Amino acid sequence: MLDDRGMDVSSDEEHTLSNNGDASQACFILHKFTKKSSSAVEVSPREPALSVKRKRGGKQDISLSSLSPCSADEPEDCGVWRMEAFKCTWADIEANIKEVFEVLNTRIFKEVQKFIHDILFYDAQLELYLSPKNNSYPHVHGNERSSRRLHVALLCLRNIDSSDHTMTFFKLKTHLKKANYHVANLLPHNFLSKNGVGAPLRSMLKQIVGINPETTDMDILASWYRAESDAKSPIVIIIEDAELCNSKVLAEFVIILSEWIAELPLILVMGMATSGEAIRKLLPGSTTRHLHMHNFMFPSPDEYLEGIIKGVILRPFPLFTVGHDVLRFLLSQYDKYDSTVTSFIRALKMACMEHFMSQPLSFLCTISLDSPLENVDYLWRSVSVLPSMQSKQYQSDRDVDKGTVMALSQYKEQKEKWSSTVNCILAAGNLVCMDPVKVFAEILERQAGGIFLNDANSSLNSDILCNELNGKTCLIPALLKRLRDSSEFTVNKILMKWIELTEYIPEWKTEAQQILNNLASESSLINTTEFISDGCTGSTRTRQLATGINSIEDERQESIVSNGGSSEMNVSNLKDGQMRIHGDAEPLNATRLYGTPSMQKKIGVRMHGRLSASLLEQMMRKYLIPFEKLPLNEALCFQNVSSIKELLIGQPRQGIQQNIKCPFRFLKCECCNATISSSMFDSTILFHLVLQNGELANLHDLYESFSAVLRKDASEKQKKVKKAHHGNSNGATQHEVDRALVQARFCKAASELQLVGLLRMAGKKRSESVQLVL
Amino acid sequence: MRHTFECEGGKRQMGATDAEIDSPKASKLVSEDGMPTMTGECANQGNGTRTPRAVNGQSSSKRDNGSPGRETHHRRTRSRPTLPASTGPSPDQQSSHEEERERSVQEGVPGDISPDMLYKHLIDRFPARNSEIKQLLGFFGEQTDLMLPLFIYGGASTGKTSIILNALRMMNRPFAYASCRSSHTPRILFESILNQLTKHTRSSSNNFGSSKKCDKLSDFLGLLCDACHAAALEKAGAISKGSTCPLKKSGTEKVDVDKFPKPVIYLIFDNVDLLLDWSGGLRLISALMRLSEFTGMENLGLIFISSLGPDAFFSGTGMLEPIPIYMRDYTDDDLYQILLKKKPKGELYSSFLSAVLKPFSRVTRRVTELSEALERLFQKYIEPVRRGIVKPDEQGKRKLFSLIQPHITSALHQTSSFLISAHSPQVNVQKRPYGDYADLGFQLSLCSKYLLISAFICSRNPATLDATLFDSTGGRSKKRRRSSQTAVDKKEMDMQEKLLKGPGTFPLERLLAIFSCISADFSDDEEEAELALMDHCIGVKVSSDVLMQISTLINANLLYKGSSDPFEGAPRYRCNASEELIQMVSRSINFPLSRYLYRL
Repeated sequence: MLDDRGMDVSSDEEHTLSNNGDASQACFILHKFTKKSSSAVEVSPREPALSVKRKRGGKQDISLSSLSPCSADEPEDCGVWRMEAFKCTWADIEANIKEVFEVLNTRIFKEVQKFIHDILFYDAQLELYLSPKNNSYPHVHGNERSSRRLHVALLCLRNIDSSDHTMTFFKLKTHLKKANYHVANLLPHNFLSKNGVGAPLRSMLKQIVGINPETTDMDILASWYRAESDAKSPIVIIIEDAELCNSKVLAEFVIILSEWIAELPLILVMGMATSGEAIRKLLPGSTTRHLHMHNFMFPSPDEYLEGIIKGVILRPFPLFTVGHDVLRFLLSQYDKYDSTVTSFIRALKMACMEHFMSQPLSFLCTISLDSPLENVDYLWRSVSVLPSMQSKQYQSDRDVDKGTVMALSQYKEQKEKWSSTVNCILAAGNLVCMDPVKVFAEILERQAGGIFLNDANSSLNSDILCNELNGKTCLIPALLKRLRDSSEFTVNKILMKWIELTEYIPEWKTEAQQILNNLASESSLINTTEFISDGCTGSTRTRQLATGINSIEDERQESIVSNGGSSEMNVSNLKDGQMRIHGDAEPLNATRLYGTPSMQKKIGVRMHGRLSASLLEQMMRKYLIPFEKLPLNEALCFQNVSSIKELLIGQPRQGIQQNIKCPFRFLKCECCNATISSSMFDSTILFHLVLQNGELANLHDLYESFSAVLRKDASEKQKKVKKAHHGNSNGATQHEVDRALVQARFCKAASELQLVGLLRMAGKKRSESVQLVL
Repeated sequence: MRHTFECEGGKRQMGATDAEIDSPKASKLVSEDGMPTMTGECANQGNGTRTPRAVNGQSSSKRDNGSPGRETHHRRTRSRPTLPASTGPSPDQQSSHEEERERSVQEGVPGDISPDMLYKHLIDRFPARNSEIKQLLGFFGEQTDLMLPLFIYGGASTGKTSIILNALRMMNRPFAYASCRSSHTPRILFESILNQLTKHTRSSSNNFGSSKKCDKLSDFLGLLCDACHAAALEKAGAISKGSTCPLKKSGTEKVDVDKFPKPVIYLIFDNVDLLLDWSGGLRLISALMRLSEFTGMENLGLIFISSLGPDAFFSGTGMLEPIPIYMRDYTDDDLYQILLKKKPKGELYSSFLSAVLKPFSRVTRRVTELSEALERLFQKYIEPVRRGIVKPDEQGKRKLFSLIQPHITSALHQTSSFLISAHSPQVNVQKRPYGDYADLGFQLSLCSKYLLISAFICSRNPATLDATLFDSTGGRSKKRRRSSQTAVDKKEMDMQEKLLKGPGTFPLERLLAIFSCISADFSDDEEEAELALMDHCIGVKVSSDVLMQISTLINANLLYKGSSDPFEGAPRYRCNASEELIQMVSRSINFPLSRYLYRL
């Protein structure tokens, strides 16, 4: 889920970036939280109202500013355009992300809502059934009802890191509130052992009743519920991330709730990071006895990521594209480190920001060239300098103008086709049970390796169909193989899906439609032949047909070789072959040629599977062109992996070490270089000395060498001084003072290094030594 | 057991000392033959006659049940001849008893249910609790009969609270009920009692507050007097208005309360065993026990309900011990009766119960759990009958039994655990057989998988073995001693002891060292040569991301981080994940876990 706080951070960051102009210097400033004036109604802890306000305030500032110029001669307007382009692009991406999350989450929300509704209905029925009609003591509590269990919906978030779901529970709350339920949202920090069970009860009462109660008596809730006019709607208590709560307090809270189940329609909703079974470890058996649990599964992070890939990255509209290498890096980060979609999105935003910061022409992503622009000279000059545009020789600005417009439309068209093709591959992969994220990663990898390229020299068969890439087994050949062998039903489904997805590639659409039509007509034909061929066993016929197909296969191989790679003709050749069989078959008795209908049907379907597989292969070759090969890619596609890596990979210790080791970069000092000299910082000198000494260094030796470094310079100075004042009597005392100073400086440097954590005392036994910690 | 109600003729103040209760004066008040004296008389005894109640007969059954701690009160009854142990009143006794009851209703208890009907109703509602209900009703007596504090204890779901509340509600007695669970602080406890007595309703007009702020016990005592007075006044008013009580002076509208026997106000404290965990809980309990003494009000009926026996509260404290009533666990026969009662058309069910109840009652004796577990099994049991395969006759029942037998064991396992019913469409999971969560149920990043495995190795292996396992230069010694039988035995013992001890703890450095060893293996073995090019050996470097993952694992309770020891310095960690989970994780990344685990 998109975290509002996260967005805040980025916009702050953006601000600092715009001021400093150096992405690597971005730092986070943590402000002290100003407490809101205590109001009676507690806002839900994650009510975005506050952050929205802050964001607005931030945006006003930013809207005035423009991005800092990339080069000295860049006109100011370009900065403004780039800023606008960034805002527009990111707003679009963000809206799509929100939509993806909403679609995926709303399904679960609806399920939860339905569950609550059903439970209530069931309880009401049960009560009606159990309570005798002629009950002479209506005030006596139904025993059955008081022994009822508390219903708990366990929402499994399916990721141990629940940061994807920071907003989910808030959304769930609003969703349930819309259904007129009373909802309270409790956070793990409500369940601390030091505050006891009072804290969650208080928060619950505040949210539901809307008062700041004196005591945390459940009776308040009960009497409020009795007095409530639009009663009979259930009270839902959501506990976010129950696994982070103190289990003792949680258990007590649950038992208290279960005591009131007879009077209040309470329903508990708990978010579980790992699985529903984890509640066994969390709560004691005496508590779980009071609960009746129901499991709900959120989509896994991979499913969210799949949604993001399909809904954001494969969408043709914002022309801004994230390059393959960058995407691969982001995906590998996701896979290896924290499989949360939140960080993926954040990284995507960083990439977007970085692009608009560093690319002078990045505003071409959104600005239309139809309207007259100022500073056109600069624009055309920069465009004509781009490496991707240099192949064409432009005579005048007008040519450049035309060329740019053409390049833009070409880029757009290519992006549309690329997205359609990848979508089709993913759709096919989905139907034959392959992980879409992995398939996508492989597409990127192959594309980066240029394997899909329609290169006449490369031997076609070996690359796209080879089962191993960099020593890994590949999914795409497996996908094609499965597609070839898949059943009629699957082929039918895949083709339907393709037709739906290929609105940007009409030729593919017609091809797919044609195969589909053939398939339909053939299956009807087979159905009719089934009557004719009843009881006929034609093993020899089958063999004939099989050899026929083999010959088609051979022909296909030949044609591939003869065509030198362009597989344009493959499909038509295949179809010709197929038609030939059909043509031959027509005059003959149908049963004689086809053998048993089931076998014939199988072969026919395999035929279509082959056709669709080869169609897919052909499309992959034709449309999966890397964006780096397109004109204007510098302006539209973000390819700088190293910069995004620098932003993402956290190596603070390395940074500290580097800075202490070579502070010259910051100090812009030219006198110092790698050799140790007294002009360096004391801590730098000491760090160098420790490094020279190895892991364990004797403190006294260190001091000696430290003072030697300082003295070397000092003696030179002293010589000069001596030369100036002949025969100074204070030499001895001066020396004493110097020694004390050196000692003090040494101590200071050592403690600085200790504070940073690079140095520590070696231990009790070796108290004279220090240890280097790297 | 005979259903008898007695009253003491003498005048006695509640809150008297133990010596007074045990005095011969008290014991002689019980009638000689153990037969009931007139209950109606007690009500009609007139002004100021206080009648603490005692019950005969029940004491013998109490002793039979072996309940401890009945001392002070029952010393009076012990000298009496033991009554024949019968489960219900004999017909003749019953009829005479009914007459008495009717008379008492006519004479004294206006608008209330007749005691006999009450008894019948309660017995009907709570089967197999005859003796306890009888005992209780005996203690309750009439509206104005004083009562010594009662201490009702027994296991969970044995009907302690329900019986008391049902009885009091049906008798229309004034009472206040407070559970020490919901009232988790003394203030809530006190205020809840006072609110109920003063009939205070929380509403938005009073900001859902209590009638009075009451934080301390001393305040409570004062306020309780007022509240009880008000409640008694109201009740007495109700009595005087609706009854044919001879004390009502016709013509005077105002009721002279002092001249009335004050109706007893019952205060019920549920789950008092929780009070032991409160700070100063024991003191609070002793104060509550002596509430009538402290407030000087004899018409307080104190009832304490606990799941712990009285020994936990009163042994060696010198407190005034209340009268204990033990709610024993249901026997198999009781359970049979109760469960059968829930099913109206029970012939098939009774044969089903006789077949399966025995193994189940060994697992749990809670009626709620049993009925739920048995219901599922019963559906399976009657399925052949529904489908018409088996006829519900004797032979059919035998066949049904043989059909249900294989299901019993699995159903037994389900009672001990709890069931989680899945609501999300299973399609979701089935659709995606790929990926780890098909097994794990949740997703872990590659890094956290390796971290989890290394944590498991750290927890399982002794630290001395790390060099042998992970350092290529420090290989294990080739020479092996031939192990004798005793050495093998000792090793086995050690192994078992180690398993019993559970996972060991380890410092962070060891975890990271093993992590970098095994993740180095993986980057060499299989993973992306090009990625290593792209990002120099990303699998090995311990960056801040890895440390982040450790904290994430701790949050998910898969790793446990101990508090930092002042002598030790750094905190120690422990792997909380089960071996099955680790096996699954290692399978998902093709990690040869068994190669790294040290088995003795």
